[in-house]
Amino acid sequence: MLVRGVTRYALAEGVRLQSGDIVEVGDKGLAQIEFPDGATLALGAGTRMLAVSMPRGKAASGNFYVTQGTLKIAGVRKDARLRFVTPVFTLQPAEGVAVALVAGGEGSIFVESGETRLDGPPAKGAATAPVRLKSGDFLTLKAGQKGAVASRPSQAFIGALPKAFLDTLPSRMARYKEREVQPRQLELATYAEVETWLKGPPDVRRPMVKRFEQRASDPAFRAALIANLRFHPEWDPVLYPEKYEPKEPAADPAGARPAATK
Amino acid sequence: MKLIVKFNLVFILVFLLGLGAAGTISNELLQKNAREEIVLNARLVMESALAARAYTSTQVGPLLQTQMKYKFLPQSVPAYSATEIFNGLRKTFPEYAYKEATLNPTNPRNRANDWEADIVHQFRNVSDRLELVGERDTPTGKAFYIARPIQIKAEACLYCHSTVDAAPKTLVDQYGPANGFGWKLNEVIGAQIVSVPTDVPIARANRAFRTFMISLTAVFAFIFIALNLMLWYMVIRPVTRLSRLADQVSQGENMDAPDFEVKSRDEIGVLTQSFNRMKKSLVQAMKMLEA
Repeated sequence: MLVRGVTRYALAEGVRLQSGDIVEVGDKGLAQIEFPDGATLALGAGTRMLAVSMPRGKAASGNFYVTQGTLKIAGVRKDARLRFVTPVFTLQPAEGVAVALVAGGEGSIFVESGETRLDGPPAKGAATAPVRLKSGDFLTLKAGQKGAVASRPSQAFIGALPKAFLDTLPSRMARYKEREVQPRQLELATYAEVETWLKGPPDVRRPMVKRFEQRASDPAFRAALIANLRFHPEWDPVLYPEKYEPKEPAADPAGARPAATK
Repeated sequence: MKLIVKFNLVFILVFLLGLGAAGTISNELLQKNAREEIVLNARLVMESALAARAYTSTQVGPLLQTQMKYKFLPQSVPAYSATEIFNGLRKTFPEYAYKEATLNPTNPRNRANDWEADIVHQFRNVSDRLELVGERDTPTGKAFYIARPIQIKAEACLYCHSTVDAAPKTLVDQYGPANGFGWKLNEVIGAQIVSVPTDVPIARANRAFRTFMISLTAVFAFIFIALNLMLWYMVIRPVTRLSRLADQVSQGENMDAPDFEVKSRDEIGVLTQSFNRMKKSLVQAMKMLEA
């Protein structure tokens, strides 16, 4: 599923991803995003990702937020600028191939080849020293904790990966180089469909206020926003604008007005 | 000695000589063909194994390289694929065997047993020996074998078999650090050994030989009976009747008997006609003497 703007679309092969797109892979699905320089990002079943920014350019670059799921980043060149923020860690592949799994407050990463830099999650980034993982390194850690680097991936990790991740990702880009595929428009996104992002970390959820502001006029959407207001208090001005209107000064009694002085 | 007895004695003698000569020649040919079939089968199995190895190393192995970073897949190893393909073949032909017998194997099922280790050592001692062939007794009968050395000719082989530290971690996870390491370039580390049963083709040759000899004997027996019947009806019976009448005529008996019936124009018919003429002449001569 793709959420672009405030609308839900059915993803199809060949659709070009844009900044702000939210991609959610179904329970039996697999999605692949290819960059002009040959870098490939594969998303396993159940993965939820927001393309925060995707600057155009020859080298693969982009800033993504992944709340859960599995991803494989392959063919990363040295000049690429890719950054994957998750609730557990921030992943910046420097070169080669890396595979990551994020689920239930725990994250694992295996570097198939090349090198990858791992930072803490954004909120704790300053406090956590970056870790450089090289080819063959495997790391599992929980949010805010330091994990031990192993020389091979665990069986649990391998078992949780889609089978396709264990092979080299095949490129499909040539088929769609000259052809643009439009996603099939479905309906306006419901609160439940974007709830993850509306309740996300501040950096993610704040821009969502402006994006989904028009949806607040939908009674069901509004009701859900109100019910969950404590998770996204920045919606309060949208829901109750009257609370934030400038108050008119109260009429002073004539005698109380201070005399003008010169 | 009667003519038929003489004829049959000569016929049986010729038959026995012919049967013996045909039996000897055919048996040698069948046995030779059986041995050639055994060698051909063994070479076919060996070449099939080599083809499976080459296919695995050039086509399957590269496809599995990524997966090997997660889990060691023996399917990418040429020796494993050749052995597995042959194991499939053995379901239909259980008496055939193929083994990559190795002195220090990674996979324990490839460890050479006593007689296989002897073959490996022969290859190690004589470096330019390319093949060994021979026969050995097995619980299921005699077996013919062909063996070729497994020599480390590519540096790539040492990636998995030089030291534990250099080997892929997934390989060590699968087979442990104890075996399959310390191999050196150009070292003969084992032998490909193909065993094929000799009993089956030999038994088949023997069956063919028996069938051939029984058929040949049956043909001779049929010819023997047919010739005897022909000899009896075409020669012996008319000659016997002719000689009996000749006896009577010579003694002056049965002079009025009708002429002997001539049924054919062959030598017996001509003889009968001659006898009839002789009998008529004799009757006339007798009548002239009596007059």
